[in-house]
Amino acid sequence: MTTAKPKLRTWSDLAKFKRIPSEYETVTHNLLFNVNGRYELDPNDPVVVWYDKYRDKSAIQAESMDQWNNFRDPHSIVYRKYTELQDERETFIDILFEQNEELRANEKLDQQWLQFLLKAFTPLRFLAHGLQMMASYGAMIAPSSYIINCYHFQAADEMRRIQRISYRTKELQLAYPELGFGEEERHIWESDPMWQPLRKVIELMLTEFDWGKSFIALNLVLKPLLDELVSVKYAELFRLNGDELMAEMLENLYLDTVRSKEWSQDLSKLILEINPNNQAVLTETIAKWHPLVMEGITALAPAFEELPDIKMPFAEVLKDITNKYDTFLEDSELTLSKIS
Amino acid sequence: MPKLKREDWYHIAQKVNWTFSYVSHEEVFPKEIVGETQVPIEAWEEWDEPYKMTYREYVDIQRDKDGGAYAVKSALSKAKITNKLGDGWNNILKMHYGALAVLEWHAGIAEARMARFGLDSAWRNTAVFGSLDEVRHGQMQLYFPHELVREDIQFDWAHKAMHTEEWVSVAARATFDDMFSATNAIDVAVGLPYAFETGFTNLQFLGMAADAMNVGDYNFSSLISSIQTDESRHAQIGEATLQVMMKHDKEKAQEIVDRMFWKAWRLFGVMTGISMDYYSPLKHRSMSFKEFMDEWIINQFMQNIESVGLDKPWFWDQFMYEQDHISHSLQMGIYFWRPTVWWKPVAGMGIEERQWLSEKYPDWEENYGPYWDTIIQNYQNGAVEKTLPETLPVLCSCCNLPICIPDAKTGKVEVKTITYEGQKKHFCSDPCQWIFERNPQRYAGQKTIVDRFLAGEVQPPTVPGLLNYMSLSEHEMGYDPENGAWALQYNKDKNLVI
Repeated sequence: MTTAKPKLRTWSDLAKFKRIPSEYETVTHNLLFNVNGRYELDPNDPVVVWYDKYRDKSAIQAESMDQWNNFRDPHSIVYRKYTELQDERETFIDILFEQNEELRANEKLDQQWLQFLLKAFTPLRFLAHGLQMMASYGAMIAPSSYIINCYHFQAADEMRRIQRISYRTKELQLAYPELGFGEEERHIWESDPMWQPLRKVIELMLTEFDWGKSFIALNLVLKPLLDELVSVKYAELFRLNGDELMAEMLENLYLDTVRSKEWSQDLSKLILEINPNNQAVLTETIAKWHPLVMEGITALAPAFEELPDIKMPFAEVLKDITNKYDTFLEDSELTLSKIS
Repeated sequence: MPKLKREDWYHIAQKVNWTFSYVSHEEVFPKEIVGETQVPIEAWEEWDEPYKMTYREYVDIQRDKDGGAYAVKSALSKAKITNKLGDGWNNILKMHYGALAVLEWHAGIAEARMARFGLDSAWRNTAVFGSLDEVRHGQMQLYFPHELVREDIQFDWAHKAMHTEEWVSVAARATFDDMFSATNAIDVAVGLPYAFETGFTNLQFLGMAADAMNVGDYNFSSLISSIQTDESRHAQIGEATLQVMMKHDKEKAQEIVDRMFWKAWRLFGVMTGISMDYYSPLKHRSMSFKEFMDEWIINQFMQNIESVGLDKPWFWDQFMYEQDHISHSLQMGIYFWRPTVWWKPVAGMGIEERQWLSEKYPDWEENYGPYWDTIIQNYQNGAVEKTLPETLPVLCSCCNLPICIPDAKTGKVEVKTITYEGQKKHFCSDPCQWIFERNPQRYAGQKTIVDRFLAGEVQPPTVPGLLNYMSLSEHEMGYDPENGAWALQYNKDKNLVI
């Protein structure tokens, strides 16, 4: 029997929504074709098993894997929008660095501040690399193209942060060659007591391979808490100590964090909506990581209370971070009271 | 611009490895997802990509590139150029988009796997750009054909193909799942950016962009050349990884290159071979597939492997022999089985085209002429049904393509059959059999379309049942757009005009 020739205005897979899709949907919708073990390889192959175990059978469950295609990035980021947005942010930082070079060429930083920078600021690149690795893991393990792309961009954002900190590290190395900038940070990151609890969290989290749990650990616990400290609170600390330009850089980098927080909140809501049983996994996983992350953050107290000339009371720093995190969880339809 | 040059500070950002102490190295880098080699852990810290780019440079350059490519598209959208380019060229577009758009996006997942499980931070960082590049390629190659679905439903397959059990899709996935979708980080690093991208696609894209320009498809030309510039950058992950492996585990490096070069070649033969020798409009053909391989791919590949210290793959004789056969054998197969593909397979068998084939491939007439003469005869006798399939071909258990390419040793198509754990497995060639036998656990449970048919997974077990299984509706399935009219130009008595 001959049927009438169908007329398409978009992909048949998007036509079911009965509306003109955005460019974002046209190039992001349902691209992941190998969920539910759909590989043209033996089902017992170790990598096929990895995807089955950690993605398809994640602790976070959906009725069908297709439900993950209901996720939408609230910013509808496509590649060409991403490079445009970030090019503009990077142009802003270029200008900051230029000003820094022009205005402060002959400035001598005091020894105390330099010690702060070496011990508490330039080692951040190692920490951020851990976050970058975890975001890349999300990109290889998440169950939908909509989620995967958010992770790809998040990983690149982490690299941006690392490179900007590294640039500053080199400037400091050139200006103060005797202090060990660019050379000592690995040792500091591996052994200074101030960093060890955070390094512990990063290393433990790197071994969380379940996609749902790794999303919760990184994007709902570690990153929102940590970035508040090392972007927002560090920016305040830098400003207090007369380093306005670095403060502005950190605030600019924080814009990337905000984007991460916003899509993570929407995904958290979808996780709850898809299956009420996911509530328990969310709660338990946050409860598992929250104390460890808080311990890590708290260990950085000397960065605020001991190292710099002009100090910030760490109890207040912690209070601000905690309040903001509570709001973040509430906006994600989660609360710490449910968790504790 | 800020004063410091990239080379002043780049290494500080690029080398951010540290020694774990709260968990073991093996726990962070499990061998089932990292892969196994003889390379000592610390040796990976020598990993160094030759061509460096910062994030700042990346977003600047890529933004400009997108600006250019999307502006060309926007300017040409209303011109409806694609409609005027003919069925042959449109087949190339449909095949290209269907087999590559979504798969390139998937390559981004493989890049992310290296960005997580690569054994040095420089490798991981370079792979982050690789993953972004592949997102770009997936998204562009969906955005560009998207508007074409309004005119031609087969363009829906740019998005749809990989979600179906259509046999070309299965064959493409069998290759790319092995090369990168379900592949540990080390195997990805050598197989995808080196054997495939450095070996084939980087140069193929240059050639395709030139062809598109000749034909007048400026849109596709600008798209493909824009993509190619990214490929050449992220493809360097392959060589950087090989440089480390060659010092400590050459055998493993050689094995991955051989395996993936062969699989890439098989798929390349279908896609590019047929496109160049049959689908591309005759008046715009600059060279045959064989000439293209010789000038662009083979020489370059030989130089590449020599420069890293690898040997020629052991199957080199068969590979060289196939230069005269792969496009012709597979064109016969696809033309005959045309309802099972998502484009409109032209025969490419007009009198002048046939003369061109004989010029480019002196043995073509002897090897392939008689088969086409039979098809011509059937058309001339009005027996169109005899030009169409009623049965299934034998498919290779490795590459999933029809077994139709002759063996260099005998000059004949040889089905190589083995029994593995009670199951019969058929192979098209020694290299495909070798790939299976060196790691049968990886492939044994994969079922070709014929295996599924015989297992009763295709119901009803008829050609229409099979088309339905492949998600090909009557409006999507392939057909000869000339409906055999080309065959009538041949002298009826003698068949051959020449």
